[in-house]
Amino acid sequence: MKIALLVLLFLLPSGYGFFLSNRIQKRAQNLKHFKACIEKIYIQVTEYRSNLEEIFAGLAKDYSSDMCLAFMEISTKMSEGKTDVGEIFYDAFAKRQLLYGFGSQEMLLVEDISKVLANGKMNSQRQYIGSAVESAEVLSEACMRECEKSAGAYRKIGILAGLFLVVVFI
Amino acid sequence: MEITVIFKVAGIALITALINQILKRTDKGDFTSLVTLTGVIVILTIILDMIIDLFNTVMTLFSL
Repeated sequence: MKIALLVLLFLLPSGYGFFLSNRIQKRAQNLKHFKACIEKIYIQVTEYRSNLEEIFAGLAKDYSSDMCLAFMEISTKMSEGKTDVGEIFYDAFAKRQLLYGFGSQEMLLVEDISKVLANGKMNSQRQYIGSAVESAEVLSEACMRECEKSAGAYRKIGILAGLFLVVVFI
Repeated sequence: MEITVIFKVAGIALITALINQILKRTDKGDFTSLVTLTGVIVILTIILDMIIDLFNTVMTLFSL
């Protein structure tokens, strides 16, 4: 009985440490995919001058990341005839904020992009999506750096905290 | 005095030091004092009975 309790005491903080570590890694991964998606949107808008519905339909077919879920929703809503692209875009990401592990900074970026998309003028869309790509790149790099530093640390601290509790209660 | 208490205190000190090192390396040095304080409090809690016994022994010895 005592051993089972000690094992539980060890597993709880260790598990939490692994959970935090995985969350950071997931956030970095999703941010990287998000940046790639924004880049694709930027290229499609500037080079091929495709309309947004086609672009989102294309991104929805990329099943390699969880991002396709948000783009699938956006694409579906647009095909249903909803015209407020900005609102649809923001809602799709706000709904999946926890799934993607996005923080307030990422959501601010999403909000900025949604405002740009809501603006129908192609010229301003090109200009602002370009700056959004840069912001996403900066955020993604900062997140990757934090991920490299913190992900391992959370795991180690979790295990050590578990050991600490075991030593105290043994 | 039980020898296990010494091992326990040594273990806690070692783990606290390791956690501090990891925190310092990951630029979270602000938390090191908190971790150290936690370690000190835990150790004090473990040895509190012994300290009380020591005081009682000293008081008995000098008939205070």
